[in-house]
Amino acid sequence: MDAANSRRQFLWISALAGSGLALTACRKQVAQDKTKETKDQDEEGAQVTATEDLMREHSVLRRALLLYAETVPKLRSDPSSIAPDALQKTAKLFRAFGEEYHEKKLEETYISGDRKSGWCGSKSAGHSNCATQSRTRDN
Amino acid sequence: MTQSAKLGAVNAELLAKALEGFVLMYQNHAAREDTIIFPAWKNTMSEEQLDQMGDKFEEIEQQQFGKDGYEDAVKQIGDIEGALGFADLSQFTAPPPPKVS
Repeated sequence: MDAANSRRQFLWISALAGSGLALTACRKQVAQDKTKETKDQDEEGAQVTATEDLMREHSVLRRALLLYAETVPKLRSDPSSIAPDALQKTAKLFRAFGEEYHEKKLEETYISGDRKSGWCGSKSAGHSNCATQSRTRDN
Repeated sequence: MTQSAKLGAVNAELLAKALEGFVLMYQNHAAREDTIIFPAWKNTMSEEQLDQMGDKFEEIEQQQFGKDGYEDAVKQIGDIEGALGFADLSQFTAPPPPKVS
């Protein structure tokens, strides 16, 4: 084997070894990225956005409203068939979860409050944007 | 009114009217908030700000209830539905429309 051949062989082996190392490193990086991605997705899956949070809270309140709506005809036809304590529990839940938490702590603090800084003055809102405020006034 | 063991006819009618007004008000407000106010508010925030706001809401929920307030509220309303006989969804399922010949 002449000098040129052994130099070529050395370069070839070096290149192969280098590629092997690079591939191993890549595989490790991909595996790490995948783990991180899975973790992020898990965290994301458990997390809800602020607007989603507000909307799902509305859904709890809607169930209370459905319950009230179903109660009305029964109150008129046979009031004794309605257990007052169940209505009282609904009212307490609505007050604690709906009014004191959802409306006061979230909507009035972060949405009505933000409105004062001008966000809802924009026409993009397409609405007078006074829903939260006027409900508070009505109460 | 709901503190007495039974509701009299007069109280029941007063309560029925109050509930009708309450339901009408909240249905209208919540529907507009979900479709107009919340999306408009969301549009004012970057992805990062929205993420931070979500964390903030989570923190407030923990402070207010000392646990997961939403999960607890869902359980409570489910229990009340059960107590009032509204838990079975089939009672709210509309019958199929009559066949038109």
